[in-house]
Amino acid sequence: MIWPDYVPQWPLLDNPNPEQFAAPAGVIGPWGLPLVNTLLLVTSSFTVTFAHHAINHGDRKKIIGWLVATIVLGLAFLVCQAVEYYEAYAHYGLTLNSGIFGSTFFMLTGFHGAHVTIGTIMLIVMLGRAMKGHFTKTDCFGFEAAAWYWHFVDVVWLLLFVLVYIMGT
Amino acid sequence: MASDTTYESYYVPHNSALPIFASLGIFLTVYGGGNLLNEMSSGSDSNFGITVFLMGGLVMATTLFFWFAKVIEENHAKMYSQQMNKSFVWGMSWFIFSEVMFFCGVLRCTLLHPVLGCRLDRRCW
Repeated sequence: MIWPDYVPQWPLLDNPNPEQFAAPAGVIGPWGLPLVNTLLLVTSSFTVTFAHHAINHGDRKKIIGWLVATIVLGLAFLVCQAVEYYEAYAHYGLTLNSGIFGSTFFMLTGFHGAHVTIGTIMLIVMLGRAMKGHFTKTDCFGFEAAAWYWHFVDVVWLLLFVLVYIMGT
Repeated sequence: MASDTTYESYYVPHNSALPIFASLGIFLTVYGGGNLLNEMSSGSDSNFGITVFLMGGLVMATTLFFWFAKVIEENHAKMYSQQMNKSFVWGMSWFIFSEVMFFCGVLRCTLLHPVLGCRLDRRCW
C-alpha cells in the first residue's frame, strides 16, 4: 500500500486555494424553492396537456385559459430560480467562482433555466396564435412542438432535482 | 423504378436571407456571452460583453420571428404537403433529441467528475 491513508473522496466544498477562491458557506437544499419549482413545472406539464385537449375539442376559451396557466407557471418557476440565485450569491457565497460545486450547479441549472425561458417564449407565441384563431385538431403542429419541448424541459428538471439538489447536497 | 406519380408535388421556397441573419445572431450571442462571463470573473466594469450578447439576442429573435411568420403564412396558404408536414414533426423530434443528448453530456461530465462523481459512484454523500 503506497498511501494507506488514501480516501477516495474529494473535498467538494473545500477549495485547494481558499484565498483565491472562497468556498461557499452552504448550498441550496432541495426541500425549499427547488421543491416548489418541481411542483410548478410538473403542474405546468398537465396544464399544457389540457390545452392540447381543448384544441382537439375546438374550445378556444379553454385553449387560451390553459395556455395562460402554463405560461404563468413557467414564469413563476423563473422567478423562483432568480430568487434562488440571489440567495446563493447573497447568503451562501455560492457563486460561479466558489469552486467546483458552484461551477457545476450554475452550469446545470443555468442551462436548464435558459431552456425554460425558450419554452416559455414558445408558449407565449402559441398563446398569441391561439388568440388569432390558429390551431385545429388536424393542424396544430406548432403547438404540439412547443408542448413537446415543454415536457422535455420538465423531465430535465426532474433529473436535475434528483441529481443536483437531492444527491448533490 | 418509381414513376413520377409516386411523389407528391413539393413546394420549394424562394431564396432567403434569413439563414445568414441567424448565423450572425448566433455568432454575436455566443461571442458576447463568452466575453460577459470573462468580464464577470475578472471583475471588469466593461459593458462590451452584455451589449454584444443582447444585440445578438435581438438579431436572433427578429430572425426567428420573420422565419416562423413565413412558415405559418405558407402553412395557412396550404403550400405544405403531407410529406412536408411529416418533415416538421421529424425536425422537431431530432431537435429535442439533440437537446436531450446535450443535457446527457453535461450530466455525464458531472457524474464522472472526480469531485462530484464520487458522491454517486462511491456513495460518499
